[in-house]
Amino acid sequence: MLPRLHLLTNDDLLADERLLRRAGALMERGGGRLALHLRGPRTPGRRLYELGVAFAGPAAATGAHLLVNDRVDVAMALRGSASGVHLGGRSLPPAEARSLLGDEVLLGRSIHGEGETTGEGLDYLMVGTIYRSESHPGREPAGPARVERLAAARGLPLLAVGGVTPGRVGELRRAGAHGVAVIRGVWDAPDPGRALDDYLARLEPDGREDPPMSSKTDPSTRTMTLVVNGDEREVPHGLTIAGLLEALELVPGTVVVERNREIVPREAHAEVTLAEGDQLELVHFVGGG
Amino acid sequence: MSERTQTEAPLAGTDRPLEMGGREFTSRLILGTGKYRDNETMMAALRASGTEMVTVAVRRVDLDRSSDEAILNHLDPDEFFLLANTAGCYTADEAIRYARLARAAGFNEWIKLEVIGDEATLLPDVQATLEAAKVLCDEGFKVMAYTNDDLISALRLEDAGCVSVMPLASPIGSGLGLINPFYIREIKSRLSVPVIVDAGVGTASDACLTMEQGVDGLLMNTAVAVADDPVAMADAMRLATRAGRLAWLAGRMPRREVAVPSSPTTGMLD
Repeated sequence: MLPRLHLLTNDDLLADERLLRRAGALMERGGGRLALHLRGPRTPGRRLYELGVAFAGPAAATGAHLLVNDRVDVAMALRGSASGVHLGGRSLPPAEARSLLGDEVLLGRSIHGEGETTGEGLDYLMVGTIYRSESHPGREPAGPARVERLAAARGLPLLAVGGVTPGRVGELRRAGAHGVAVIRGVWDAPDPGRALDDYLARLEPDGREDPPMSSKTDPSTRTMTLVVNGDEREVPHGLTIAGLLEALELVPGTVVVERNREIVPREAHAEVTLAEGDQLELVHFVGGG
Repeated sequence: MSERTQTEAPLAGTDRPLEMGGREFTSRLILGTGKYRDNETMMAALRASGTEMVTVAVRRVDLDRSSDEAILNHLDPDEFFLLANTAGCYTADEAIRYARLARAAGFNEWIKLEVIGDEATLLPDVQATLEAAKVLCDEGFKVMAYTNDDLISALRLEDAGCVSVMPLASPIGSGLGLINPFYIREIKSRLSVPVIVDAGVGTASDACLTMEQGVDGLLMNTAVAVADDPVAMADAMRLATRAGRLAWLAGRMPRREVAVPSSPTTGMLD
């Protein structure tokens, strides 16, 4: 499912040599509940690509999602290592990005004004600027009411961004936000790991995600149909194998997964994104002679 | 004349470990884990049998959670070496698919290969078994192949690279015991890899008699699992397997069609 916590970067963070180590530790902490966005408007494509390659291992090992901002080409070059692309106002139109990236990739977009058109093919919207933020000092904060209005109007999962502190997560969730995106709230915290835990705990107060099979209660979420052990199942678009196992409450270490007649090694469960119509066999050991 | 070989002379009732596929097993009894009435009984029976290797099957996870069938919730893979099987497969391709899934579980590369040829008798399809064995041995599997009590098939499976050949005593789940001791002895005498008799043992005397043919081990499931008291039967099978093994190592007396007195015929009173 779409993670509820999105950790963004900026050009300075991307240039910092400690990024891999710092972000790696956070990915380990957040696992599949965290999406790391490689965001750096002035960072060259080459650097973004190299970072994407460097983060592929930690992402696969931890189940954390890796999203590339704006650069559809970089995400394509990273192939399976990037879970998705986040588009901005100056990026390719979503429909074009979707046609280039294919259906398996998570695709989202930032919007700032409520009248802004968003385009087709998106999985989520990132809505800002909600609170006063050092990242966008000139912007007049819109407040959680914007989340509420957009949640009703747009029918896509919303991520609130801009000055979101852990203490504000509750009201954003009540306003209909699926999750939040943060930069300084984590990176500039005295203890980024603890800050991350604080956000995650407030985003998922009962300590677990909503089951991804929630398409019935939220008809607006894009879904796809898989055949799992012979039965059709509706799941959220962009779900990984690790996400599916988690949603089915299966202990990953005991289940072997075959996708379209090919075994997917356990190490790859977090990075393999499922596609419409995939045939999955989930098997395990039972008593036998 | 004794049926044992010179190389395996008994040392005061001791036995050597069973060497197979680069591993050593002290117990010569391999148990299945199917058909037990509950997991507690199964675990108690496995422990009573002294076995070190147990077979498991590969099946779809029950996503509706109507049963608690994940055997690893009950069985510690550090306590017992897991031998996955391809039970229920009727073609070589199917068996290969199951074997690969079993290996992907991450425990070991061993597989009990069985390809069934007939639903009524569950007798093996030897041709398909051989075909699958070749593919799996090439892929680095350690294949223990279930087969008929047929010498030529057994030789072919050994040539294919199987670490053990496992002829049946009688059909799976039948409990008919050892139907053809002569064929089993033939197979044992001609193969270099361990011969484990798999299927058909019904009770302790069957186990003992089979081991007395000189085979390297036994694999059974139903006889223990469906006994009235599986734990007691497991203990009986442990003793019988060992008794049969020791009797074979000890070398039985020749059979004679005439009586020979045990006590001296001299020194009798007039």
